[in-house]
Parts: sequence; structure tokens; C-alpha cells
Amino acid sequence: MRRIFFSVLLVFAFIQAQAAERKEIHILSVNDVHAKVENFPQLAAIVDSLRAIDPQLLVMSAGDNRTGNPVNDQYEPAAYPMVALMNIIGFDCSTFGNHEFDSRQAGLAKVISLSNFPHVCANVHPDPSLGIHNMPYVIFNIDGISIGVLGVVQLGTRGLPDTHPDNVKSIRFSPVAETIKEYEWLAKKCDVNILLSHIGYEDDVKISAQFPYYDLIIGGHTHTQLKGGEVHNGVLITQNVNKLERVTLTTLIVEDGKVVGKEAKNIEVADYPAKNKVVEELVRYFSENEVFKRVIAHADNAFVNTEELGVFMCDAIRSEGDADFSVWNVGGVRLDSLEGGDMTVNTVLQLDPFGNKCVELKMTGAELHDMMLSIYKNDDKRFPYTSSNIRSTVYLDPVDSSKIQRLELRDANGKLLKKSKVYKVVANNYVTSINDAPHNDAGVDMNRLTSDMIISFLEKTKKIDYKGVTCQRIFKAQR
Amino acid sequence: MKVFVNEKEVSVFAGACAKDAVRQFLCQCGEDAGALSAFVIYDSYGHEIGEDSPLRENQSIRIEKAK
Repeated sequence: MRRIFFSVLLVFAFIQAQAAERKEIHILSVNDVHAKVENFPQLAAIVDSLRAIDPQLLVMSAGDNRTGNPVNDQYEPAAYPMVALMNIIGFDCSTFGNHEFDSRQAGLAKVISLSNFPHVCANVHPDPSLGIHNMPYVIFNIDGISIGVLGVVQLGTRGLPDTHPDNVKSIRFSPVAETIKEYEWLAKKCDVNILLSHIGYEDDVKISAQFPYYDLIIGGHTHTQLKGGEVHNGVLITQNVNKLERVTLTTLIVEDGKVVGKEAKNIEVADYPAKNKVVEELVRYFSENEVFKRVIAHADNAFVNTEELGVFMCDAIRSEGDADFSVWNVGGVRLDSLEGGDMTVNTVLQLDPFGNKCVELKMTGAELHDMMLSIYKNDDKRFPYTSSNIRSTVYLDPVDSSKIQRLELRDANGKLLKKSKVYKVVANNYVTSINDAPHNDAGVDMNRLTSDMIISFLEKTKKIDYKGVTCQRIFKAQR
Repeated sequence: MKVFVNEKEVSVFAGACAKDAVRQFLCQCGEDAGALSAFVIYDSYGHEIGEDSPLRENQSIRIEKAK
């Protein structure tokens, strides 16, 4: 009898132990990396260290893996370096950020096909003809624990992600909250539920209120630095600033098929004391890529000063932007001169290295006039360059030559620009952000980098000659 | 679009990032727009955000001199 009693006790203790078994799920997440390939050797070392402790570590990206580094974006095929690096590290999944669509439809299809990990995004529905094979969700299984990961991407005011509209033709997008609701069944099916979200911190908080059954929202898009993570409505939300400064290690404690504890902490990447040598070599290989040496046009003569270069850059974005006029800040022309001959991708990236966006504005002649004066005032008294179809005549104050007494803007026929006529003007976002003169139209992002527009202009034009081209005459006015 | 920097309304282009708004704010205050890197940018919840963080209409951000 005693033997039977102790046997029952043993069996009961065993069942209790099984029932109380706790399992930790570890997830390393990145967001808005924007092709900061230089930090990948450190990231790889971090993943290696963590996998030495937990070989079942999950590594995920909340999107915007590309756009921000010509080493990646100008590669052929575009964005391949990031794919290769994420493959070698062993990412388990990524969602789409709005910048994944900068690859355009064929480019995105290529990125996905080359990736060893799924791209999960439930509110993106490409036409089948595009060959873009995203999945709405993925389920991981770790020691019998099911982990469901649903992906979503932000939609702007037009119901499209923030990218050039041409990049998302033939792709349908469904509203984020509606989409998440459609996948409520997934939450019931899985022990752990993760939303891999590229919708921004504020919207992540709103989603946590609407769908508090999520255990974790791995966030992106707004580059919000959360210290570890924050819990809202019982949901742990994480996100880091962009460009791989930090990653987040999240631990979910699972017991009896439910998450009973969660914590997140940041790991600094750039200063991490170890680097994976193989990944370091791969980054070096990509950085020295021949693609930058690709000849795209020929300059018949040298550019002997920044004005000739500035006018050329203005003409390029004016042409690509189909605008009436364009403006460029002097400080934005990063070469003092340029030899004639072959112009390469690298030439353009040296000339315009900042990754600036092109902005389109509707401005009256009077507003353009005032913008030029404002840029002069706010850009260390350097008068901006314009496209070759405007001539600026600047009269400096005879007493204080740092002040502009009068400015005349004339068109290619020598006529003064009409003050009340509305013109389409393009400029880089630095120019528009330092223009504090009143103007009616604040402008709109064209979703194109100025450097890309210059490259495109040169590829079409093939030969250029800006010898002696000028856009401005500067005089000291008479007393 | 209209956003707020340190509670001051600034107008930036649709699709602008935090750095565009901060530069516009600095210009309107008579400060050097090139001094962007001297500041840390925070969202309305007090979280640090990157200078390339996209902005929305009526969003409020705050800047402080970096320590």
C-alpha cells in the first residue's frame, strides 16, 4: 500500500514538474537599419554570442532594411548587400518597411527571392504577376511552443506606404487595424503572439489597446528609442532609433502555453567589442564594389568652380522633376571642381553625398525671390545656385556688403520673373528647411533622392558641358 | 504640413523628417541651422527619436542641447 502511495506521489510530482516547466523564448530585433552595413560585423558577433547561449534565438527585422547607403542601394541587384548580410547572420523573418518599396516592384521581388528568410506583411497584396512573395504571417515552433508572427506596414494619407507612388503600382494595401482583426484566429492558434510592425510607435500603442492579446509588438518606422521596451495594455512594445545603433533582446517566459513574463533590453551595436570577421570581410567586399565606377556620362569640359557644378546639379533635378526652376545651396555642392571626362556613379555620390530628398513646391515669383534671400541669410551668406534658366543679379549693400540690397531674378529671355505667377520649383530638403520666408505651399517630398535624380539625368543625357555656365552676378550697389 | 517644435509651430513639406522641422525651427529662432547635430530630438512622449524620423501633421517634437 505504501509502495502504491509513493508511486502515485512520484507520478504526481512528475506531472506537476512538467506542468510548471518554464521556457524562455529569446528574440533579437532590429528596425530601420537603412543599410548601415558598417555595423553588421558587430551585429553578427552579438547574434553569435546569444546563439551560443540559446541556439533557438529568433532574429527579426521590423523593416526599412534598405535606403540610406549607396553601397547597398546602388548595388546590382539593388539592396542585395543587406540581403546577403541578413542571410549570413541568419535572420528568421522581416516585415516590409515603406522603404522596402524603394526597390520598386521587380527589385522587391528579387530581394525576397534572394532572402533566406520570409518577409511577413499581412496588409500588402501584390498582383501575382509581380512575383512578390510576401507571407502574411509565419509560425515558429520552439520546443513545442508555437510563436505566431504577423507583419504590417504603415500606410500614409493616400492609403499607400511612404514611397513614390510608381513603386507600388499593382499592389493593394489594406488598413492595418482591419488586417490585424482578420488574423485574430492566429492569436488563438499560437501560444505566443508577436506583431512585427512598421507603423510607428504611436500606432503601436493604439494597436496594443485594440488587440491586447499580443505579447509583443516589435516596432519600427518612427525611429523611437525605447529603453528596452514599454508595456501598454499588457503588450510589450519595442523600437530603436535607426541605423543599427542598438538592437533589442526580448525574453518571453512561457509556462503552460502562455506568456507569464516578458522583458526587453537594449544592446549597443556600434561600440560592441567584438566583430564577426567573415561578415567584416563581406562588408568590405560590398563597400569596394565596382558598381560605383560605372561610367554614366561624359563631361566634355572640366567644371572649374562650384557654380558650374551647382548649375549642373540644379539642371539635373529640374529636368528629372519636370520643374520650371530649381535651387541648390552652395554648401550642398561638395566638390570645388571636377575634371572633364568620364562621370561615374561615384562622381555623383561625391558631389551629392547627403542622401537628400527632392522636394517640389509651387511658388510665386515673389516667394521664390524671398526664398533666395532667406537661403542667403541662413546659409552663411552664400547665395544659392539655380538652374541655368534663371539669372540672379544680386546687389550688395554698399555699406555692409554682407547684406543684399536688391535681388533681380530673370528668366532665360532676360525678363524679370512675374511676382504673382506660380512656378513649379524643386530643391533638396535642406534648402526647403532653411527657407523661413513666408510661402503658401510648404511642398511635398517627391520620394526621390537628388543623387538618384542626377544619376538618372546623366544616364539619359550622356554628354554635358558646363564650361563658363553661370547663374548669378553679384555686384556691390552704388551708394 | 504643420508640426510643432518646442511648442512653436513650423511649416514643413509633406513627407518631412524631424531634422527638416528642427532646421526650420532653428532658422526661425535666428539660430544656425547647421547646428542640428548639437541637439537631441524627442517625441511628445519623451522618447529620443532619430533625425530621420518621419513626421505627421500636427506632431510635436522637442529638442534639447546634447550633453
